[in-house]
Amino acid sequence: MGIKMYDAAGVLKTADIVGRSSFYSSNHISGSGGLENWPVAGMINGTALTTASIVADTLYAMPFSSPRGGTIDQMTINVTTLGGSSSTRVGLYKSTRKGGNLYPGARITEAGTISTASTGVKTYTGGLPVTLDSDELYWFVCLCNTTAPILRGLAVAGCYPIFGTSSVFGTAPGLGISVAFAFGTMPDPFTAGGAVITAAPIPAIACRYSA
Amino acid sequence: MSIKIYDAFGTPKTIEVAARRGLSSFNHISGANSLDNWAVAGVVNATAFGTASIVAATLYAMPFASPRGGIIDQMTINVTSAGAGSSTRVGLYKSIAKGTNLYPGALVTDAGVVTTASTGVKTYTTGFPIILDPGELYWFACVCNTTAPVIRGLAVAGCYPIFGIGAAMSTAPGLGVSVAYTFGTLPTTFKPGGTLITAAPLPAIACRYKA
Repeated sequence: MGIKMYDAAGVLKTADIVGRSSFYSSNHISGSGGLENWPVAGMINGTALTTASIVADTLYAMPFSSPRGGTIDQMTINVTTLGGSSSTRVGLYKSTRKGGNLYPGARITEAGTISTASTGVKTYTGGLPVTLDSDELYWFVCLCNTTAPILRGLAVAGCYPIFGTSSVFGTAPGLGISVAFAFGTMPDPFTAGGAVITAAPIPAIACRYSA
Repeated sequence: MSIKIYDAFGTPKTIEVAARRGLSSFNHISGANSLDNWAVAGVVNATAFGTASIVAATLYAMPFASPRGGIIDQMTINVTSAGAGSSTRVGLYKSIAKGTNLYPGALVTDAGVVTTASTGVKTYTTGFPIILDPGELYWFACVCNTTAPVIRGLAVAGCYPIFGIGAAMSTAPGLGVSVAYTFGTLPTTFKPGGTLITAAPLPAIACRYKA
């Protein structure tokens, strides 16, 4: 929904009602002011990142929103321990229904597949740049084959509890979604029947804003 | 500014553009119903505060957003260990470009200089009250001279990772900005060339809402 509103003097006032900045709606264009910014899906605080021993043939999805909109032109993971002969795919999904059914739905882009048989940051550009919808809850997704690499990962305490707690009201909030999926082109839509991620491994998948 | 928008069928649509709120959108007027509220820049959760051994002649900036707007009339720090002969300045900056270039930019107010040669809360009132722009990402800044005091500080895990993670996808998110600056009147434009704060010291700089 895009609406521009002007006051009686013709001054654009839309920002007055839609431009409510919060930490969550402020995403720095990486490189501006000489400072980098690689937001990580699901990350909510400064808790140090760790590692994620992801499982092969499993789709992992972590939530990401961008209330200011903006454009991202790269996605990255960091291989901390290589997986012999492995590759990892990364992709971007949106939710099944904005704000209501947050389960990952339509695929926006499969950003590519890169060998993760070596360590270091892996950069994905397939289907990017993507202009983000300020209303959407996105999902950053990864998928690897055997032998799975170990990736940079989030600590549980550093994640946003996007799914709150379950109906049994246990102790572990829901942080993301994982589901079995044979390594290959990412599904469109996201595979149904996923389980809520409540513990490690929680892969860190980052993006870069170009606008 | 209050605007209501209706569709062609008379259904209110305002909520779609104006009522995007989260807990971070609410800031209590301090003293209302006898409850204090001193909002601290950079804080994102209830992790206990610690102390910050700030370095003299270093300008620290921590991010602050106020999606509801509002008016602040004081800023404060808390000196937990006096710095003999020291003073500390506190000020307020806005970002270079709303939402996109978050590096601290124009000075909104140099809130003054107060001796920090004694312990306790130090209150800054120069240039206040200030009406906050709901679309802005602000920066609460401080700089002290030698011998630096120790002040109330934030824990890393209690901060919002405003700059995400670096391109190297290491383990420490970017929480604020610091840059060397000779003690004196705060610069009218924040000094360029700052680096990301990823670890202590993380000064706790608070403000009080009066409206």
